[in-house]
Amino acid sequence: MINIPSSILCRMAARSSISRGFATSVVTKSEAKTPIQKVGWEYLLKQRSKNRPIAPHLTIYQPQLTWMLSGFHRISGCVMAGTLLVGGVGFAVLPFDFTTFVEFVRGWNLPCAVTAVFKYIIAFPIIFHTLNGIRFLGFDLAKGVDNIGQVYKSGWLVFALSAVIALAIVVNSCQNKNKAVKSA
Amino acid sequence: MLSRSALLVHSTELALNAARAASGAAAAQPKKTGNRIKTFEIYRFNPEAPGAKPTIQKFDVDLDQCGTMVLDALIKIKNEVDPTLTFRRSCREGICGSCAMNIGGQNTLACICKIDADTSKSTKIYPLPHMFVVKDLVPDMNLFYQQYASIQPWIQKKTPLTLGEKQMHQSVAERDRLDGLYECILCACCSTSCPSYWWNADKYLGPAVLMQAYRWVIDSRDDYATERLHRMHDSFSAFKCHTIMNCTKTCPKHLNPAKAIGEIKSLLTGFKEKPAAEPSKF
Amino acid sequence: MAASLRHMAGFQKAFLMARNAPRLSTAVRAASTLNDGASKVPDHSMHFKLERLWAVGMLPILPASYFIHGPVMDAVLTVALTLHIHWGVHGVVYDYARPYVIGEAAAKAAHVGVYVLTGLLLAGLLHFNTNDVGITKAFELVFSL
Repeated sequence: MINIPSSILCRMAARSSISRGFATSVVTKSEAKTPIQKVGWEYLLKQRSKNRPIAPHLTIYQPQLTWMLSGFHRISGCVMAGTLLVGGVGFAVLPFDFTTFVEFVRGWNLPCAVTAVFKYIIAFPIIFHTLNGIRFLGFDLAKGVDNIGQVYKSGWLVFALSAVIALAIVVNSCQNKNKAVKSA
Repeated sequence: MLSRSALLVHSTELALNAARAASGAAAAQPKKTGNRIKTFEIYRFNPEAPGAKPTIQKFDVDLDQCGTMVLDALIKIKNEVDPTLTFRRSCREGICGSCAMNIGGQNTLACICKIDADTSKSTKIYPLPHMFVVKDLVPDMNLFYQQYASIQPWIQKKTPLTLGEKQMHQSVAERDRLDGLYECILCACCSTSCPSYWWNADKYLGPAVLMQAYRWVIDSRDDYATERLHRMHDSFSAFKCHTIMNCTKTCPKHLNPAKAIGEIKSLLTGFKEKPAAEPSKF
Repeated sequence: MAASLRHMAGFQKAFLMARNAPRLSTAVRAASTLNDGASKVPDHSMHFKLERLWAVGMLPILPASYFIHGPVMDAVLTVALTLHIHWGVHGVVYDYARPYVIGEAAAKAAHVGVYVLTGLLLAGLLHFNTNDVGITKAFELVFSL
């Protein structure tokens, strides 16, 4: 084996794969598998051929702060993205614009207590996803994971902070609305 | 020491129960009397029955006639009620990793998991989540072991050694870095608690294997850290960790795979570097 | 008695020979750990780093968008959110749309679908910012209800 430093070898391999990637191929370079991943795929097929059941997972695993917060982080991200997608594309194709839509809802004259609920449902996921995002970025750098106690403390802190900040935003908006109504 | 007649009654009872179990009927346990009767709901799957489907079977155990750990209850059930109940076990002291299973919703070792003495609630026992089930509580572990072998869990040196000539030098500080990593017993509790490993066990290595990969990366005596890291640099092997943290929560040996994976990510992205080996004094 | 003494002498001689014999010099490593096929897979590390750095960059934008409104903030949010959402949705789809469950063809279609969704999102947001009130004004209106 020629004594080329491994770092250079890796970069050489990467460069040639980029140039190869421009040519059309059945398996795109991002779908390439390591040897053990190929073994993994064969393993799955073999297990399926033996008709073995898969042991239950989501339905039986104890709800814990760890995966509950992680699940909510993902769900909140997907729901917010979906809202932006449906909203953006929706208001592009629907015959009315956003202002008309809001004024239509304003015409229902809903009390602040009712609109506050919807505002909270909008604000909480945004704040939670942001704060938990910071927490997860720390985890990616092995920060705040010294023990499970730390993970739980930061988890509850993020949840509580999100709840409080979202509440503050909603209360503030109701106060602003009352001020606007009074001065009108 | 059971007398001969008692032995005869006991074995007849066992044979009857075995016959009942073999015929498919739930082992009709005589109603247990006693202060502390605990119900266990155990996942059953018999691959030899045609058109077999997994079921849940209830067993009652008198806690006053049973050891304190869940494994004691399982062995008692197998001895006295249903000999076909199948599970792995060996050391009974939490060091071999054989009896890893999902008890009360958490992955742990049955031999060191105390039975919850609250007899008003039943304890549910399932195999390790999202593993292919061979029989009852026994999952197929072969992919897990192959993934472990793929990270090449042995010392690799760049310069040839003369075996037996001298020790491979490692300072106290360097050896301390292995604490919390080498103690893994490869029970697979963590990997099978990870939703990411549930969905992509074929491509994501899982916390147990990744922690061992890290154990060899930061071993000061190993010279192939760069290659070891490059072996995991694709989008799935290590980076499919979504920092869910179920692994560290469930480890029955109180180890911290999540932290090890964070360190791997830091090394791969260049935020951290493996410290150079301290020069030997001999 | 004499026979065993001879055995002892022979044993000691053999022991001394073994102790002083030249040792084997072996390379304690596998035959090149580099070329085991893993190096043919593209390096995802820089992409991962970029994803996280982008998320860190978005952190000040979120609270800033609460106070600062207008078309510039709308544009910043659109670019930041679209790329972040693209990578997020990519992760979600690759997690759940697995060939083992839905087959190779559907999985490949799902992978393409990620780019379609991102394209639609970008188009929708750009349209909303130019031909409608814009993201920040939209939040203003909703929170004035």
